[in-house]
Amino acid sequence: MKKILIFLILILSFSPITAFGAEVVQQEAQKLETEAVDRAAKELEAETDFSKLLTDVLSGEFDLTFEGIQEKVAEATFGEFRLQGKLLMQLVIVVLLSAILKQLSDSFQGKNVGEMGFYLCYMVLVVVILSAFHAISDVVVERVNGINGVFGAMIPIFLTLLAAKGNLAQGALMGSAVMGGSAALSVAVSKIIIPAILLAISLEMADHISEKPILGKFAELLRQCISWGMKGAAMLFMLLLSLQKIGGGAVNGLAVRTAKIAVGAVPVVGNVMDGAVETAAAAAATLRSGTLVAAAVFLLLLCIPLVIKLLVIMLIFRLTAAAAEFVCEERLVECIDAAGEYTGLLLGVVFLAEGMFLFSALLLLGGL
Amino acid sequence: MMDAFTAYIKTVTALTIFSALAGILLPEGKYRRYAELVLGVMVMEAVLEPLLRLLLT
Repeated sequence: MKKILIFLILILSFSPITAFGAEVVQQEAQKLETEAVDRAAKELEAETDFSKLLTDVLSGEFDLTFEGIQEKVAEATFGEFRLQGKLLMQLVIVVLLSAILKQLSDSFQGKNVGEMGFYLCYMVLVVVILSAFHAISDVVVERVNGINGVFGAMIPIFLTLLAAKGNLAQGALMGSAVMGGSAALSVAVSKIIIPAILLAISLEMADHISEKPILGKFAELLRQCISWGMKGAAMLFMLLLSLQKIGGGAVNGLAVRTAKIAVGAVPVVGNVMDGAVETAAAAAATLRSGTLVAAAVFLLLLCIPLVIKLLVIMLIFRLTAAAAEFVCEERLVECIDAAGEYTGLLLGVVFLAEGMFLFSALLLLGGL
Repeated sequence: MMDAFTAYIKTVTALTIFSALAGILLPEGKYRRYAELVLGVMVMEAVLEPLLRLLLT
């Protein structure tokens, strides 16, 4: 009898049945409501689809090679340079005109003729710079609001996965904090930071009109205040979320552990069922990691075109200022350079928003 | 609050432009320095106005 039993067990152990773990994870992934994220991303005219990206990441088909990224970034950068060619041409024309007028004015006896020429060029330059700046700041506001919409659509998915891990307390605490924080960030960017930057650049342009600096230090102070304000907001948000993550961690995984202990206590089949609970927890962990990767990549893909655009515009301003330094009036060069600095500030705003969203996703899904 | 800040910056910017233009149009002469002094004091007062209001109330 014993020999037959051992023989049967040996036969069974040599005929394994494949456990379709990948399918389980894929099936669970389909239950997550990714359509809301796709809808929000469509408004931003995103090239990729979040549902497809998530499926690719979970099935291991997602390929993120350095060459692929390099090629796409190079293509986007050159495309952007061609689009911003008009701005570059306008700046170069104004600079050349100013240089010619400056040379001509030296041959006139009175200083006033040269000054008039300078002010004419300066007015045209200010109009060119401010119109480009208004256009790009509108794009920044629209993009940040769009990414906020996408992130808002992702939050229910994150909270579902957080609850599946057993982090119910954390999910309850952090969900509302993250939602409130991202909405506050969106409002702060569109209603406070961007208008403050526009006011600061207008002041800077006005300051460079006269030879003697009138309010240069004040404009610099304003720029520093905006910069510090952004850093302060970022630190506050991160601190708030981190504290909630630590605070909610005390009851982490309690539900899963309780389930495992309760199931394990069942006689005879307790160990097998315990294994099933472990598998479910592991599947949830796989899904969570996959979703985190997909969410992080998707959020980055949404903001990269804007970052490239801002970098190209900043490069154009700075390069033009550098190139024109020898031929042009110092005030014009400083004006163009200041425009480049403020574009850098706009870039900081985009990084702030993107960093906040990525950090929130990481805190919600990654770690403890 | 943002409206008040916008109005403040607009006032300062307008005064800056006005001072710059006045400085251009002023004729050369012994009174130019005094005119520039007055314009400078006007700009300074505009910049410090919120602080002065806080200190004096």
